[in-house]
Amino acid sequence: MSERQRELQRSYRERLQRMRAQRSSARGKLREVIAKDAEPITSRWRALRAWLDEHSKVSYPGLSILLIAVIAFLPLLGEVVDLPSELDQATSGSVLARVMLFSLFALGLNVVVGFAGLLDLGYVAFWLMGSYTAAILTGAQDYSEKIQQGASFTEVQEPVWQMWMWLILAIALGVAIVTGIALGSPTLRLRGDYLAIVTLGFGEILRITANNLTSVTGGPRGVRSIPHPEIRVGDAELVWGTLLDTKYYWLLLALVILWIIAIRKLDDSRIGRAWVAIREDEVAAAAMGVPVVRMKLAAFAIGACTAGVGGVIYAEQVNFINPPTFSLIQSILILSMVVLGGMGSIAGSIVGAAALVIIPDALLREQDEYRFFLFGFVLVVIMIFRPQGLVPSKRRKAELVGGGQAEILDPAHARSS
Amino acid sequence: MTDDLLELQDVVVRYGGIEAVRGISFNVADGELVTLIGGNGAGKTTTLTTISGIKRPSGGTISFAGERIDNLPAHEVVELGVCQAPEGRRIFPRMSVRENLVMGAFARGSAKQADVDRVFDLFPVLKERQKQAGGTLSGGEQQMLAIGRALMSEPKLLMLDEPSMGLAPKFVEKIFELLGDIHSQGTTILLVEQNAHLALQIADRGYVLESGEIVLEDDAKKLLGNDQVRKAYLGES
Ligand SMILES: Nc1ncnc2c1ncn2[C@@H]1O[C@H](COP(=O)(O)OP(=O)(O)OP(=O)(O)O)[C@@H](O)[C@H]1O
Ligand SMILES: [Mg+2]
Repeated sequence: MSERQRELQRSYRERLQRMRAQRSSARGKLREVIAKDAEPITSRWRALRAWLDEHSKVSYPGLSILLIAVIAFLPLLGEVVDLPSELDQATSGSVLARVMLFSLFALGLNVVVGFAGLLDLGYVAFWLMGSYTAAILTGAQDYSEKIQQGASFTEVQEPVWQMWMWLILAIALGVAIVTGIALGSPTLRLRGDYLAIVTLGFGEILRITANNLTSVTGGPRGVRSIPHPEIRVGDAELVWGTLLDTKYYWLLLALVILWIIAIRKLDDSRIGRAWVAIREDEVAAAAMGVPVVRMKLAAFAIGACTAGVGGVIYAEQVNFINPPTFSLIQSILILSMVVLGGMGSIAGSIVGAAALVIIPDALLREQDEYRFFLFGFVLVVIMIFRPQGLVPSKRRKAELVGGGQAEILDPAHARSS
Repeated sequence: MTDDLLELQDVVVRYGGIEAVRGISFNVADGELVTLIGGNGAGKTTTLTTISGIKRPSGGTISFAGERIDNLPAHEVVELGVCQAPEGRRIFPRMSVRENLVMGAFARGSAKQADVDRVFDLFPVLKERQKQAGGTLSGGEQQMLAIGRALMSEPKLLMLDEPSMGLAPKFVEKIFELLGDIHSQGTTILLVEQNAHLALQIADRGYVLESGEIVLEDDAKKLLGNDQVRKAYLGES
C-alpha cells in the first residue's frame, strides 16, 4: 500500500468517525444528561427491582395485597402528610376516581387492541351504552323529561337509588355485549385500517343517535339526576355522595381489581393463546383450527362489557350525561392510554390511564394556557424514548424489536439510515 | 360409499370474477399419499385452502370421511382431522418453537408433553431450538416446524403446500424422506408440489393441475414415465 493510499484511508476513517459522533451526539447527550441526573433515582429503582425480583415470587399474593392496600390508601395521604399542591391534587379522591374509571376502560380496550390486535376507534360507544342504560333504567331520563315539559319539582319525584339498581351493572354489561356483537359480527372480517374506520363511524353514529332519539335518550339536553348508588343492609348503609366522593374511587378500584384478575386468567387461557396466534398470522391461526372470527368477537365483547360497566359508574358519579360527553376524543384518549402504557400489558393499561389523567388534571393544572401543549409534548417525548410503552408486556416488546421476521426495521438500523 | 377419506366433486373456486379452480374432482383414499402437481398459478394453493375451509367453493362438493365439509368453518374442518402446513410455512414468527407446536394442537384442546416429544423425535433439530423464536429458524427448520405443527393436530389427512419451496436440494430430500416416514406410520397425505420428480417418487398416485383443471391422473410411477409430464414438469425436452 502506498503512502498516499494510507493517507487517504486515514482521513476517510476520521471523517467517518466525526460523522458518527455528530449524528449520535444530540440525542445521545440528552440521554446521558437525563441518565446522570436521574442516577440516584434509577440506582435505587434498580435495587428495589432486584429486591422485588428476589422476593416477589415467594410472597406474590402478599405483595399484591400490600400494593392494593397502599393504592386504596392514596386518597387519604393528603390528610396524613403535607403534600405539595400538585401531588395533593393528584391524590385527591376525584382525580384518583377518574384514574380508576379510565383504568377500567383502558383494561377493556387493551383486550381488543393489545390482545386481539383489533384497532377500535369507537370504543366510547360502549361507554355510552352503559351510561344511557343507567340513565334510563334508574328513571332519571323520565324525570328529566317531565321537568323539561314543565312539571314542577314537587309534582315528580326525583329518582332515588334502590337496592335492585345494582342489577343495572349486570344489565349494562349485557347490553354492551349485545352491542359489541351486533357491531362486531359484520365488521370483524375487515382488517386493520378498515376496521378502525368502521368502528370510528359506529361510535359517531351512536353519539348522534343519542342526540337525535330524543324520546328515548333525552337528546341534546341530556339526562340529569341520575341517582348515586347506595347499599343498605339492615341498619348498615353505604351511600355514595357527590362527584367528589372518594368512595367512588374505592368502588372503581374494586372493579379494576376484579377485572385484572379476570383478564389475567383469560390471557393465560386457550383464548389468550388464540389471540396471540391471530395477531401473529391470521391465516395460519385459522389453518390451526383457531375460530378466528369468534375469538375476535370474544375480545370485542369483553372490551365492550368493560366499558359498559364503567359507563354505569360514570353516569352515577357525575349525575348528568349528554351526547357530547361521548365524543371521538374519548376513544382516542383511551387508546392513547393503552399505547402509552404498552399494548397488551395489563399493568401498562393502568399506568397509561394514570399518566394521562394525572398529567393534565393534576400536574399541569397551574399551566392554564400551555396545559394541552405540554400534555402533547410529554406524550411525544415518552413515545420517542419508550416506543414499547411505559410497562411493555414481554411478548409485545419482542414484537416491537422484531425478534424474528424483520417486518420492522431494527431500531439501530432505522436510526442510522 | 367408497373408502375415500377425501373426495372433491366438480369443485369450482372463484376470486371475484376469476375462476381459479374450474370444476375439479379427485379423491384420496385412506392411507394413501396423493400428490397434486402443477405450475405457478395452476390453482393448487386455492384447492388446499378450499378444502381447509378458509376459502369457500362456489360450486361442487367436498366430503371428508363421507361427510360434506365444504360448508363448515375452517376450525371445524381442523377438528375433523384435516390439517395443512400452509404455503410459505407461515409459522408464528415470535412464538417459540415449542409454542408453535402447542398452537398446532389447538383444535384438539391441549397439547401433552408426549405429543410434543413425538414431533421432537421426528425432527430432533426442533428439540434443540425449542425455546428459540420461530421466525429465527432457517428456512428448512421452519418447514419442519410447519409440518410438526400440523402433525400436532393429529390429522387423519395431512396436507402440505409446496414443502420444498425455497429449500436446498439436500434439505428437500430430507423433508421428503420424513414425509415418507410419516406416511408409512399411517397418516394419509395430500402433497401439493411443483417439484414433480420428488413428489411422484414418494406418492402412490398423482394429479396434474393446469389452469384450474385436472389434465392428467394416474399412478405416480406411470406419471413419472409420462411424456407430457416429463416435458412440462421434469425439465426434460
Ligand atoms: N386472493 C386472491 N385473489 C385473486 N386471485 C387469486 C388469489 N389467490 C390466488 N389467485 C389467483 O388464482 C390462481 C391460482 O392461484 P394459486 O395460488 O392457487 O396457484 P398455485 O397453483 O398455488 O401456484 P404456485 O405454485 O405459484 O403457488 C392464480 O391465477 C392467482 O392469481
Ligand atoms: Mg401455491
